[in-house]
Amino acid sequence: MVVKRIQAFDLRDVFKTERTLLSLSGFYPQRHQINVPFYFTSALINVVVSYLQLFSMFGQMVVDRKDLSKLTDTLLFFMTHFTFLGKLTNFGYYRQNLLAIEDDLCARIFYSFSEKQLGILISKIGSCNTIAKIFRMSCVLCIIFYSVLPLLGDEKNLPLPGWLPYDTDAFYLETIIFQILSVCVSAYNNSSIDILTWKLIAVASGEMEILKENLRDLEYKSNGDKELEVTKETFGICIQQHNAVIDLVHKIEFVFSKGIFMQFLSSVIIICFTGFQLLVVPMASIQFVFLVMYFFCMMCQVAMYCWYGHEVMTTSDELGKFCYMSNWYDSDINIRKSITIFLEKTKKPVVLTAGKFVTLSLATLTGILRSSYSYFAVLQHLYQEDS
Amino acid sequence: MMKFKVSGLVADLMPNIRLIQGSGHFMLNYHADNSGALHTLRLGYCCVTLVFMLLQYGCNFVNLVLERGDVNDLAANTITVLFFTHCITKFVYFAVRSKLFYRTLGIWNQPNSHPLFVESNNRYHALALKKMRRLLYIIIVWTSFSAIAWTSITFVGESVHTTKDPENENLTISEPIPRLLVRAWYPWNAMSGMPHMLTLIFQVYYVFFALAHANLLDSLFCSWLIFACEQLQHLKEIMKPLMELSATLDTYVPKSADLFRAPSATSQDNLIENDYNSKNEDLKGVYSTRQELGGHFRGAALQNFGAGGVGPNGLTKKQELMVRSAIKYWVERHKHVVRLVTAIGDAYGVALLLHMLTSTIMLTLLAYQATKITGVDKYAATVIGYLLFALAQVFHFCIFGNRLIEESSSVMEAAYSCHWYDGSEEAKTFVQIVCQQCQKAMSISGAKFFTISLDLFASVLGAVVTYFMVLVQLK
Repeated sequence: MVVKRIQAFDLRDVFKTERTLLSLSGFYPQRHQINVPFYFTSALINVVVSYLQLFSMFGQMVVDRKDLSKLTDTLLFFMTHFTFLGKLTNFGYYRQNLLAIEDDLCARIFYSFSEKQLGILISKIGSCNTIAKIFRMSCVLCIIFYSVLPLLGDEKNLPLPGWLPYDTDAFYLETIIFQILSVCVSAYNNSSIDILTWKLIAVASGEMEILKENLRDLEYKSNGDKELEVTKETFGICIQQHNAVIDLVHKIEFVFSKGIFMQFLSSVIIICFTGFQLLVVPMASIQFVFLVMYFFCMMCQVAMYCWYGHEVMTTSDELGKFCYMSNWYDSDINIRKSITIFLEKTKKPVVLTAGKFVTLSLATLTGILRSSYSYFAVLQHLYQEDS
Repeated sequence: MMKFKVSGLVADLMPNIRLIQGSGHFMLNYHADNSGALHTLRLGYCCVTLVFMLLQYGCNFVNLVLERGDVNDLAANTITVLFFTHCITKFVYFAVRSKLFYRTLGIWNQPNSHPLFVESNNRYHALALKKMRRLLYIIIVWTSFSAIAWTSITFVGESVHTTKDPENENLTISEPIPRLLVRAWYPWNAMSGMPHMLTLIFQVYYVFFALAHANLLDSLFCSWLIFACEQLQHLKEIMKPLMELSATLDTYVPKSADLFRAPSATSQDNLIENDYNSKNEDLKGVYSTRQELGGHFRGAALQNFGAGGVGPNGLTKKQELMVRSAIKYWVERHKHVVRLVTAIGDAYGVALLLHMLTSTIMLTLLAYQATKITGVDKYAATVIGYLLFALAQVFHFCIFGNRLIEESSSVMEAAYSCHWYDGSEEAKTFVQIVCQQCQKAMSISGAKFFTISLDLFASVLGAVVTYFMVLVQLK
């Protein structure tokens, strides 16, 4: 992102790509009522394909319920798909709030930074972009592996496990196309929603970094009433910025929180089952490589949510420290009392929660991995008993 | 050529720095003469050390892979490899992140000073220096003792390992292996004679230097923490005189004679001393105004300090500036300590995380090995030796991390326990902001995953004991 002047920077451009992608699939809210039939049809196609695939996999699971390794194979993709539909439903339900978030990001208070601080913001968003690219790349690779897998086998294997009410051999090509389409739809929308969330959270933590610097560099020494008024006003602007960022984080949480909660619940199961599949499948095969890629995608998804949530938490924790690092002892009594009230607020860090139940942080990530490993150990024990 | 002058932390930690440089770490600053030839020589020494370490580590690893058939050997070799992984990690970590270490060492180069508090500052600085030296001696003795113990235990007992009998698959025979400190694969035959002697000497060098690499870096980290803690002690000590000074900034000066009806304004101190000592038994449960409000008397006495001076405070402008500068000194010094602790965390946090990761796995395996101890023999000694060394390393930095947490949170107590109620509005708001800031203790975290404190050590120790108990039951 090359920015020639500060004035040319718009926070809403940070998630321009995701906005375009989600608009194409008809889920992003539109301000102006143009092309409504197009968006409606697109959304309808996406939803119909996804639900058909879901029911097909559910049918397969019912058929396979006695065989543990086949069941886990289906359950793996079923859970991913189910989570995706949950997140999509949540996104569709709360999507009007995204327009409110966009309006907030236009507020002047978010643009009170210098050239150097803009550099900090851009680097933060830049790293988020890199991660988004890697994530998208691995998703695309997964899809390619999905499609290539059945074509390499001798029998007419389907890429995804699924029960269909007709003879798959007769309509082999159509079924394959349908399944690949459903996988594409799922990966496309899922990754876009995830990356959109990460970018918004990155913007919030970037703004907080700028606020930290503003607080530290604030000059409190004042000779006379006029300078005192200027200092008071500058401090007031910092407080307003603080409030605006907290408000933004709360709005983001309101929109995405339930989806993230579903993601965490199913990630435990998905990571466990993928690990189990990696044990079952022979090592030197395309399927193994595919499972490794899939495992990486799933880990990346949950880890990134935890990472960005953790960043917001630690950045807001340091606000008090950075305020202390200024020359507050030179300040007037009036401002000093305002500083104490501000410090009281910064004692409580700004956290993002998943469904008000669990906070997004690295501690949660270790908890998820630990649970996955315990379930994996149990599953392995059961499998060894079976065979 | 510029005269080489050291100051701040570098001057205090010079013995540590020299030892670290001597052991082959990539610390290439802090030399009087840093010209091209000498610099290349030192760099060459470091690279040679690195090559030797990696070669021996590679030999250990190859041996691990070769001997993976037998479960006992696999466990023992994994423990050895993990142990030296940790040493190599510290070595490479320092080489890669040496800039952060230099930054931390240079952070205290220009501390502020105030004429009122110079004596206290020097006293705590000397105390910190003494503690840092003592720690260094302990580390040197501990490392040397471990290396010597390791070498001597090599010469005890048989030097064999069990392999499958080539004639009968079900039996195992013992086959002799070279008598060396660490089991490793070498491309030459090191059983006896000259190759054995040379390999033995190389291994002694390897073990000693690997232990030194890890322990010296840990002791550098702990020395930094000692310094930070002593600075916090200094700040706590000067809080009281500072508050008494700023009590003079009160805008309203009450006439102590009217308020407390004391018999004499000037002899307050003497009266109080005599009263307290002689009427000690009478004072139990008796409310005595003079005893209770003794402090106020002293405050009042100070208030009359500049009697007849300029300004509504009863203070000259110069004295007022002195008090304001004292507050500024306190806050700036505290901020400096916060910066130092942040820099320490940035420099060493990731190393601690990696240490804890390898230690956790190693201690789990050691708990398993400990269940196989049958009596007081060489095996028991080596297992217990490894266990004690690993736990001691973790304890080493946990105890200093814990002290930092305790010291930084007790600053609030010191702020509260001084006569803040006597102070001016300015002093009170100063105490308020300081108290708020110090509620949250300063701590070192292992790359934000966990905090270094005695809780961490307790959980590690608890985990090892739990694994041991469970495994003993399963046997």
